[in-house]
Amino acid sequence: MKILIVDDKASVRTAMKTILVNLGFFDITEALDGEDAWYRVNDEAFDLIVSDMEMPGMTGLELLRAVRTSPELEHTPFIMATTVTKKQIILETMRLGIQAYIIKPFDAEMVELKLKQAGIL
Amino acid sequence: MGVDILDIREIIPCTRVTRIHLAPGFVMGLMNLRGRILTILDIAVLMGLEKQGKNSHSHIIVFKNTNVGFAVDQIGDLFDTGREKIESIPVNIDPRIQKYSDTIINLPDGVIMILNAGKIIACIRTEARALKEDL
Amino acid sequence: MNRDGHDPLDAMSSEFIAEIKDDLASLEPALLAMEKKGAGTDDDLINHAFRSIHSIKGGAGFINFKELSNLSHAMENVLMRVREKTLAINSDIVDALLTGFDKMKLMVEQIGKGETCDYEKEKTALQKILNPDTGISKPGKHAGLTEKQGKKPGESAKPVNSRQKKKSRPISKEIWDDPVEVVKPLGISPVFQGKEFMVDKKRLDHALSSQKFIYAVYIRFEADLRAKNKDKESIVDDIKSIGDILFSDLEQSRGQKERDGFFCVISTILDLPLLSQVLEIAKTQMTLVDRQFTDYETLMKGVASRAAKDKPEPVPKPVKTSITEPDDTLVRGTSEFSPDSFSSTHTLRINVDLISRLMNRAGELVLARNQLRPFLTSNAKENSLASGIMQNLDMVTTDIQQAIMQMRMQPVIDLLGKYKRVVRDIARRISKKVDFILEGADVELDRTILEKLANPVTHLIRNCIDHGIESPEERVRKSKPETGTIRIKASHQGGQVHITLSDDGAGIDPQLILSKAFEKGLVSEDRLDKMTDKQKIDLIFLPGFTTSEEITDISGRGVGMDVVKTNIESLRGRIEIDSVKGEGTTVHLIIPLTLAIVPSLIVSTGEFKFAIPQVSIKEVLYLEKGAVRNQVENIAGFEVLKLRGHIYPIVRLRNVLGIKTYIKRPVTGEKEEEKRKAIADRRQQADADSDLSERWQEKDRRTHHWDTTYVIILKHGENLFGLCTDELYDIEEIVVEPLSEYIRHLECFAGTTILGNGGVITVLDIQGIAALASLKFDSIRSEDAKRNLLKEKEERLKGEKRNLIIFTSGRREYFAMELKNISRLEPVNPKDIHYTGHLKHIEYKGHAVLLFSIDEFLPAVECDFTVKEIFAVFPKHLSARVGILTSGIIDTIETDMFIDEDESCPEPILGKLFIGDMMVQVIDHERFADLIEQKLMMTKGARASRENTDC
Repeated sequence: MKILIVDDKASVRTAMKTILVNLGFFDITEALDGEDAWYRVNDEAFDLIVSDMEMPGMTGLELLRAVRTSPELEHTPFIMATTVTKKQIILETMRLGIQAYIIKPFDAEMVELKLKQAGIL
Repeated sequence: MGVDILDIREIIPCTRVTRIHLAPGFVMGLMNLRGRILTILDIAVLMGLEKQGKNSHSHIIVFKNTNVGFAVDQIGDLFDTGREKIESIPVNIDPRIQKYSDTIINLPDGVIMILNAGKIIACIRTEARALKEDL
Repeated sequence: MNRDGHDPLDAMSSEFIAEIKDDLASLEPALLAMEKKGAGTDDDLINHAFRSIHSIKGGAGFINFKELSNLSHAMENVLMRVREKTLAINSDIVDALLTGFDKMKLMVEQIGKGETCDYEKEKTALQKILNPDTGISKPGKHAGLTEKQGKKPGESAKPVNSRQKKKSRPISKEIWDDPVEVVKPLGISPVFQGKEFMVDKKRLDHALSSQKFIYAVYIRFEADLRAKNKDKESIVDDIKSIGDILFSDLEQSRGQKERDGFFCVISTILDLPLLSQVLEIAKTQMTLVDRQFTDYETLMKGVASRAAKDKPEPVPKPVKTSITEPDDTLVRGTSEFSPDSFSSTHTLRINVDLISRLMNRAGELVLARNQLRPFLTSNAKENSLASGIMQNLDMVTTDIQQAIMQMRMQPVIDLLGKYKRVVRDIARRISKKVDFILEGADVELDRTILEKLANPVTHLIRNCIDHGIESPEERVRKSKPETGTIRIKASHQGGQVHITLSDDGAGIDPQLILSKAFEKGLVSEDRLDKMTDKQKIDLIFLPGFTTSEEITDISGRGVGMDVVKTNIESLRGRIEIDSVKGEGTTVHLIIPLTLAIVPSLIVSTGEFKFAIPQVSIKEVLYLEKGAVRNQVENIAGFEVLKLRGHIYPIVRLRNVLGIKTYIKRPVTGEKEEEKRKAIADRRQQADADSDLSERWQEKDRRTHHWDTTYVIILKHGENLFGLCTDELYDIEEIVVEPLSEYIRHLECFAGTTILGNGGVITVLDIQGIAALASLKFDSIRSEDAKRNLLKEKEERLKGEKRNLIIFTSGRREYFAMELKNISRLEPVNPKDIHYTGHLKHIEYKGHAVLLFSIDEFLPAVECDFTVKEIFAVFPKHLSARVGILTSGIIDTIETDMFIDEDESCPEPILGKLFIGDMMVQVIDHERFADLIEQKLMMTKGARASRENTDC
């Protein structure tokens, strides 16, 4: 299972990666921001994208939109991990379609739960 | 011999003094005191006193405001003395000793020479400078 | 927790903490800049500050640091308002923010120490800003339901109603054709007490199978809808956007006037807080139901534990001690605020220990390379590849070492910038106005030096503000600008870093210093008149100058300028003060660039260890007993080492320093001193000129009972010499302390240092050791040169493989020429030789070719033409028309034998060679060619003259 983690903070990426690895997912790629992630998803096929919302340049929401509007990628499972809890943003992401919405800070248990919700685990 | 307590910064046991080769006789060596390097001097040599033996030094007295410590053979008692008991040093004492001490206390069981810390340090500094000039 | 009980996030804490520290560092200058610009602060700055705080809050959440989280949240709220322009920046706000910042900084520093920080004060200050009248933060969206419901807190009127409804309205049940399930809300909120809902089983199962949360939600008509300008449709729409409605009693509730809201059961992937946000409904009005896709117990435990995060785990431990005032010498932040200085995506944060380790390794790499070198370069001629490899290795090793040294260099500005805050705080506290200017951003120093500079510089700055800069009123009186200026400049000059602190304050009064010093007995009366102003000012460096009477809160906590001076001197630096009374003071700090950390090789002789700065080491050799005999020689009274074709003088550390070592008598086991005389001892007795040879010869067999020993080849200017020690240890990075005054005169030592194990050792001064050993490099050098010249000569001749052709000219006389100098051989029939006078020639390919025989030049036996085959050898250097007659070609051989050059041999013989018992005379082809040319000239001349005369 190829997972892409997108977050501009190294600490968060590492935290998520550590949790995922402990859950048995070893094939993990990291991206620094939305644009980096966008290039990557167009390069290789990922089975799951876990993304932050607020990032410089392309935000998580924009990334989600791009993924969902791309014919090849539109069905890619997407999990948002963010501090943002604004109604409009949540509605928009739900409208676009996400598999889980994680609120930071997350811990291993929450991630596990959310992965179950997303049907990954 | 006695030393005015107020002049002393601390007294430490004499361990781990690193000998410095080719140093003048009165320099015993160097010591690490909590990250500071102290130069340890041998009072006996300075005063021309007879050395008891190589490993006779038990403690080191570190004076305030210096990076120098003096190795001594034995630490004795601490006592208070009234100013009256302090007398001038007799003139017939060896001048080498007189360089460092100018007062004594007469006690029933003996005489205690009181070392003048300031004088000692000043004298040694002079000697050190002289060594430099010699070369 | 993971299944095995470990929370992987534990290990990540340090990363989060590091990022929080970074955020704090970038926040402070932003706040300071905000203070300066006040209402004119631009949006970028505000946003930046906001983002930093937001980030800190996020990080705090991850490591479960509740206090930091709360405090940063409070600060975030304030900044949010500023951002939204509903709050204007003023100094009180920035003060509150800065105080909050200080507390956050303290909190972070206390992490791991197990002490909690009390932050009430700071929080209140911030809250006051948000609500100036009440001083309490406005109730947020989490207003307790009990508050609003007010009237009947304990009553359970509604639940009874709905129960009744269910029972009294069987119609509802009829509406459900599909099977239903009953779900119960789990929340403790009164609104859900005793309630049950019937939901479509199919939908429920579907939701459960897709792992969704199932919530029961209570929506109030007035508060949640009308007040927010929503209608029922819109909220239903909202719900449908984020999940499914499994149940709703909206319809049923319409008719009932006493109901103030309706229930629904929703399935969604959103967590409760998110649901609350989307629907804009209080969290207390929603709850999970008893059917979830996972084990109810585990889930509740998880949710509950996350909701009730009281104890920060595991990083900060809750022990109740409260910490209040941060020490304002804490250094923090960076200097100039500019947005660019934060987007440092081209930098990397690296653990300092890692760099130290790298440095050590680099040093070892250098040594190892040095040791490898002889192996790679010894057979350079055969091994041309190896020398190329060696060169590359050299380059790479040096590069690595330099790069690593670079890594440890940090801009001086990093340290100095932190003082902006210090200056601001102190100035404020004592009501002075001070401007702080920094110059010299690109000057770098090794970070350990920087660390050691922190204390002295802090003291100087404090002094400056405290005693130097006058109060605003006084400054105005003196016609100075109200705000004083402190300027710090860092620059590079001649291999040293200069840091200058100058102020435009009151300056130092030399007379005042003098009288103070005199009072304290630091200056004698007779010196009073003889001192210059500068000398008077320098008196402040005397220990004992600052006494406890003068301790103010700001400076002089028993720390005097003498300590500052000592600190600077321990870095091998200098400190100087210039001052003009009334105008200002300038303090110069001059620090050598790289001295503080000296990678050194630790060696020992006897029981004593010494440090040798690596920079002086060329290489290290290990001589075994046998090797010593071969490689050590005595020349002009010195012991020298033969190494790779050169000779180097060697010195035994033992002798130079007079180290006594002890040998155990084999039979008795007693320790006995090895009787070796130290050079030093001797020196006092002997004259300066007295030969070393005498002393060295005195060394009997005992000194030659060389065991294995290490020889360290050291650089002494252009020269090299070897130092013999007993043992080698590691390369360590040491901070060299200057020698104490009592041993400063000893030139063999460069300083002292404390090793990792606490022991004190001396650092050897290479020049000093050489001097002490009276190494006379000149005589060694000339001897070395002489030997090498000889060798080169040998090399030239010897060892070169030559191809020689050996021929005879006359019987039993053998000659040789190098094949490479011969163009061809031709057989010659004696009958074909024509004679013209003394000249012989034959016809060859239509040309006349002159032939000479060796006996025409040498008293050799005449060429014997009776032999059947004779050959003409055509040397290259002559024209093609000249050949040398031989009476026979013996052989061509390849030889590397040494040709014994003998000047007594007649020309053109180069020398003799013995092959077997055959003596061969080797012809110097060049010389031969010359001779032949001469002869030709003469013959031509003779001919010409003969022709002239003949006619």
